[in-house]
Amino acid sequence: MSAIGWQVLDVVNAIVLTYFALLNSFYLLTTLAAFTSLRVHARRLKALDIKDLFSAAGVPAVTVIVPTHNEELNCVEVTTALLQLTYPRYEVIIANDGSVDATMARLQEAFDLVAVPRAPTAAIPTAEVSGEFQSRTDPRLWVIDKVNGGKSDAINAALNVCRTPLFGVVDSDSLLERDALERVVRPFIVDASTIASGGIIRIVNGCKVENGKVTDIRLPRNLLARFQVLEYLRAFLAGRVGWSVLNASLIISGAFGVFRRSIVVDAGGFDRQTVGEDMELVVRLHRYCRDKDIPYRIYFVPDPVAWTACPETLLTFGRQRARWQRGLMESLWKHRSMLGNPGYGRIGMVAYPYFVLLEALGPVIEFLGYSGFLIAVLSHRASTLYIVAFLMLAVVFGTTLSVASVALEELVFRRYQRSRDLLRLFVLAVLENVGYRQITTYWRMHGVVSYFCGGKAWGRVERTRFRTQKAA
Amino acid sequence: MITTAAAVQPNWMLFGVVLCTVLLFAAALAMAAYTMYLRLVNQRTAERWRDLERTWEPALAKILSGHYSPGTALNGVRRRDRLRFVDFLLRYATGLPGDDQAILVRTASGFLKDVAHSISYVDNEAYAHSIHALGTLGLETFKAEIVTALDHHSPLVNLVAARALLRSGRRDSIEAVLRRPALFKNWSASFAASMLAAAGPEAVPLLRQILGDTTRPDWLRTAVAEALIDRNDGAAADIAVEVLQEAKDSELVIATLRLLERTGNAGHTPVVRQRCDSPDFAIRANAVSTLAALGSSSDLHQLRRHFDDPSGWVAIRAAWAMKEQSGDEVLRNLATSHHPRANLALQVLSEQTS
Repeated sequence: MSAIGWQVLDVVNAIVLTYFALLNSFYLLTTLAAFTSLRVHARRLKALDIKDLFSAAGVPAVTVIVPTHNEELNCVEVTTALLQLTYPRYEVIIANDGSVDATMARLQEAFDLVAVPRAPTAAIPTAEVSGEFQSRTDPRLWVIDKVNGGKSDAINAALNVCRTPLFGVVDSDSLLERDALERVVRPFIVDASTIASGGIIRIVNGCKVENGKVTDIRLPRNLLARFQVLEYLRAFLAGRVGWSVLNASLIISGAFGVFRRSIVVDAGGFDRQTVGEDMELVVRLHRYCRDKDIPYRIYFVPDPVAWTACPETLLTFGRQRARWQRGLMESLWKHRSMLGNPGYGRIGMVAYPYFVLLEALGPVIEFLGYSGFLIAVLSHRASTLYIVAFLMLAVVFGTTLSVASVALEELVFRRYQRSRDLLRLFVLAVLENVGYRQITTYWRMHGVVSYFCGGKAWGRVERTRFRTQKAA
Repeated sequence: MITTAAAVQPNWMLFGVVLCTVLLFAAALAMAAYTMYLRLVNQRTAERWRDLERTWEPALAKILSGHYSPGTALNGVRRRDRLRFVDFLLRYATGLPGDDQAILVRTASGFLKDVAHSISYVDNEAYAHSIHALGTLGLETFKAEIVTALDHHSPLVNLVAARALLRSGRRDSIEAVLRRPALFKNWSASFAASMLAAAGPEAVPLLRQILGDTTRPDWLRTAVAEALIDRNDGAAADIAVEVLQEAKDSELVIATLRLLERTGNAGHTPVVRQRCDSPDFAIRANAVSTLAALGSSSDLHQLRRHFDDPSGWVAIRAAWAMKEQSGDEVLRNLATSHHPRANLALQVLSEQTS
């Protein structure tokens, strides 16, 4: 290689080092913030009786919207679980987005649906709605049958007939805990400026599900799923809590979030052009409220739980991660005027730059880092000692952050009752640095390439049935 | 960077990297060890509490049934378990009928001094938890501490203290809260209303007074109106009419309309009809609902007019109102016509309610 080539390599390595330092510093900062916040939160729950808060009349009515596509395996179980929530005032709208399997037939049979028109309360453009149905066995349940238009389109179709002040979006493969809605709505009750609130997503793979309720929480047997359990703990307990403490949340998970209906409708509903509709909406809400000087808060509440199945095959996992990366980039590009813009406060000056430089460009930089490292090793240009030392630092740093997330989990929630599951999580915290992270980077890079090549598809999603036991 | 630095100052950088690695490794090990230790401690503690509660539950049942006196509880609980015993009693505190509640409070009385002594004014959550315990189980004895908590800087502490005082139903306790209207400002109107409604019948005259007092802030009068709805206070209807005649704030007007809907009568409909033509669609919608509740079939004509309202929210209320006023025939005609809202009429006719 020429001298210029080596200089380029040095510059690339410098960028990679800087990225590594910045990324892990942010993770460390959010983890530390999360430690303090979660301890306070756990004690706060002890001071307040949730049921007591809701015992008097006055809780806002909520519409739970479930966008559904080809969910014949789980749709009845998920819907049954949603109708058993302890929240006093809510209804459920299943938005069947052009399923080609037996989803509609299963719902029809299980809930005795009858055609009842539903008057619109908003006019967000959507694909054609072919029918509206209400359940005769539980009038709180409505089903909208529509032509396929995508997840955002399905949510918007339900939003167009939503008549409650709040609405929640729950993924069709998620199981909400019975009191999850009460907990996630809490910020709306105690803080009138709340416009959105999100809960935590946990992996249901390997757990026992009985009558729509997760009864025995275990780590999955599948290794890929186990890594994702750890990753979700890190992402939610350390990441989302930390960003919420900094009042700079850019994401509420599309699997479980509650929003103020009027604000979302005024902001235009969910964007049909992006696969990252959850992040795009939250970023747009920040922008909309700041542009219009509307006082607002967005909360992440760590105790309400939605259980969701994660991919157990590399291909499905890869498609999911590529899609998430694409969605991230689409959302960030769409609102790029917020980047570094002091008019948007911490969102523009801290959160946005972080997501652009460290999350969106992250896979590119990591990819360059691995390539640069390989070149340095093969050309004997780099000192072996330095390479080993740097690799050790990278592995140990990543391990430490993951161990911290497991510690947070044990400190506050203690969902994994088996001590061996805890030990397994520690082992996974080490192992994920050798293989899992690299696979994730590869698929995220796939997402980056797909974004620049104009990819739009979701890809085929495999569904597995919840491991259900009938009640004794 | 690695390659260039290696040629210039190899030792410092390498030293830094190794030092960071070692420190982080030590931190990871320490956290993992602490987590496992915490797991063991939590498991043992949970087992201990389970065993303790297995002995407390039958003892409490015997106290509540009168076989033991409440004072005997103090002898059976070790000093180090007293705060835990109070938490145990708190679990039952809101679910018991009146007499049992009084016995529970007497049972707790010997332990509450420990709670009061353990109050931490620095730790907001711990303070709120102590106030929650004192307010639920010992309001009479520790009222001064709870009123003091109303002025603490933590909104959580204020909330817990206010709830305890309001729930007591005693006039002096309620006045202590209402003298601090700023407490309510950040809460949603419905939450503030539920807090005020929990104050019980003793508070109702005070609430009526606030509702009719035009010098009070509109947001407070709105919360009060909502609370009076929860209390089903019939005597507030005449005050609501006076408020409707002068109020300009839309939230206050809406809350007052809803109050009339719950507590008013046919004599109150003239002022409601005036609000049916408000420029604010939310007021029109609520006025239509109130007219449905208070009016008669002679209002069908007006309700039919509101079915054509530019706002879909008003239209749906008008449709529901017509159904309530035995206007099925009108709705059927609309449903089978070419009216742009024919579907709405059909929905209201077909919809089942839970």
